[in-house]
Amino acid sequence: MRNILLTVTALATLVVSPLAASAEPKPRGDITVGLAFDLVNPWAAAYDAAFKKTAGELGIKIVVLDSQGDVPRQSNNLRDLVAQQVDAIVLLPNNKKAVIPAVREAHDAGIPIVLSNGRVDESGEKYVVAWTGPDHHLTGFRSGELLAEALGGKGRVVILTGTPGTESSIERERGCRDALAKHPGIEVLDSQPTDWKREKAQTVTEALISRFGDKIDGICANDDGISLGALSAIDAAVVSGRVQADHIKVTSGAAFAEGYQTIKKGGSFYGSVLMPPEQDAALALTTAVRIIDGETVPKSQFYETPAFSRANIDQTPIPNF
Amino acid sequence: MSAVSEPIDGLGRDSTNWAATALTAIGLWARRYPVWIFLAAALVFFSLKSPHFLSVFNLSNILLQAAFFGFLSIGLTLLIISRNIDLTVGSVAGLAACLAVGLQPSLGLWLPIAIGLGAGLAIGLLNGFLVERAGIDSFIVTLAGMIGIKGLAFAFAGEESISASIDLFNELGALRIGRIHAIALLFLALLAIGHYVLKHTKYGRETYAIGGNRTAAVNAGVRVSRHVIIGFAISGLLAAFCGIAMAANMGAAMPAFGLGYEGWAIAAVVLGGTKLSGGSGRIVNTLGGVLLLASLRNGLNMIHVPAYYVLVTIGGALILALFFDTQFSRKPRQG
Repeated sequence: MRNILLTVTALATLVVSPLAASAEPKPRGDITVGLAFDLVNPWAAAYDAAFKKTAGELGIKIVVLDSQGDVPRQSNNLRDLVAQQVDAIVLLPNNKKAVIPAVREAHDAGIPIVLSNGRVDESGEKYVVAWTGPDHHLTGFRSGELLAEALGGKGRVVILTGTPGTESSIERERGCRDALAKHPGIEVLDSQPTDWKREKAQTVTEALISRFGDKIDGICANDDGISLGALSAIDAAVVSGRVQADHIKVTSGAAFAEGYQTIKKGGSFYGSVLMPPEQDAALALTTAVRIIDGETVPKSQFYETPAFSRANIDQTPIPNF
Repeated sequence: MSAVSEPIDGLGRDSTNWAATALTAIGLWARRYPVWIFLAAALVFFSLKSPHFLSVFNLSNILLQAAFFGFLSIGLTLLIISRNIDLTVGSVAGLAACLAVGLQPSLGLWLPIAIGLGAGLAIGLLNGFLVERAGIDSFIVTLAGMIGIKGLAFAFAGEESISASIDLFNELGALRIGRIHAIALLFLALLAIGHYVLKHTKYGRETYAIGGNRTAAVNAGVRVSRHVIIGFAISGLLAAFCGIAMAANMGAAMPAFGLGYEGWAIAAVVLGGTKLSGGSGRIVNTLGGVLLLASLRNGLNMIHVPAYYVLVTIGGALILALFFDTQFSRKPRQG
């Protein structure tokens, strides 16, 4: 898929560049692109690796700054990238609002920003050149559809979200709710944040099981890390006899390798949505380089995120993170 | 700069050579306050490693990043000299930020800022009362406060970030005078005031006296309890100030603002040579500690050290600095 994408990009470059390149484009070896993101989970680690790999393929230099989930630090890191006069910045915002003044400073310094995966608040959009990533509403919607399918269209459900305030968490929760709302037999009991942390997902699920007991039929999680944390709590509750084995069905909005294997084994974890960070990173970085080359790029670009369950898992590639 | 005002106890006295005397003085000062040597070394190292490090943009950037936890370290210097500690500062910053931004839609610009500062002041006073009147150790009081206040901020603001709705607030936060952020200048101004208070006022002298020997201070007629309570109030107020400045600079607030800043601020104070055992320390050297930490964070970013190693490096630098400090420092300076 990435190869196709690169080919398309390369073709687009061939077609567009003779028109756009009135000035001589910067040689690839002289291009530096900054990456500002949170290296806090396996997804981000795979994104990081893919970003580096794509940079190698394109022959450009990169500067990777990790803010570890700390909101003020991401603004600091953006300013550090501006200070280094990088040619473009790929940003995975960890907050829709607080990052805007720093994004604006980059814009004022003439450094184009490509948002990857997450968005910023509307007031900041004018400082951003392009957005690339998955359609989070759609992946959330697909996780909700999977759960409705697993429950046969009726049951009581809780939603486990990521970090509140982040685009991916907000949109996946909304998508999940939109899908579940199509089934009048399904009732959403509660929604709880987990900050994308497996341990927190486990303690949150333990608390939910204590509160609702065996009333919970399904859990719609925003990613596999959260699902796996929830499954640990469910397993413990099964052992202590508080819930029936395999009664609670779990689905997720973004697949990890460990989740994939768990789905394959069968049991509580019903299905997930493929969201390959390789494509995410490649799309963001190639877009940034196209902008540096002087091309006009679409304001928004999505990549495909298919859902899968145990039924079609053999036709689904294993996520590499 | 401080070499001039520092007594040069006997050393270099018999030297007739002015340059040698000056060198000895600088050497003595450097041994007493090695933070400036560390800072100079860091600046030289990073400017050799990255061509962008010494740019005006980046230096102003470092100063802004330093200012945020720097506000906290001013109050903490005062408290640590009087042999207390305030771990609530990071949480108070988050709470004040949320109050100042969250109340804007209903109360306008200035009243929420006043409420945010008021909350900081009130928490500071409460900390002080618990330490002095209830006799609980300040570490325990403020550790509990750190956890509780964070909860309070989440209760008020929820887990989502809140957007500042008044443009003037954001404009103030982004204001620059020349190339330097107004927030950074405010930090330097408050630091200068703190320096003056410690060095030239009765309050300052009493701070050293209490930290050096509390019983002696009581016997000498110092109103110790009142003094310490005021110290905590100042610390709370500065913490609230830090949070509001962050919110203005980012145009938003969330309870997680200031998370872990107490650690950075205490590290800066300690790097500046202030002893946790109380009775000694200087606020200008806290500035050295603040600038050193901010330069390390920025410089390590500039030379592309991964974030986790940045923390490891800074932790290592802290231990190293304290090692040198215990090896070389002479008798602690009494106020």
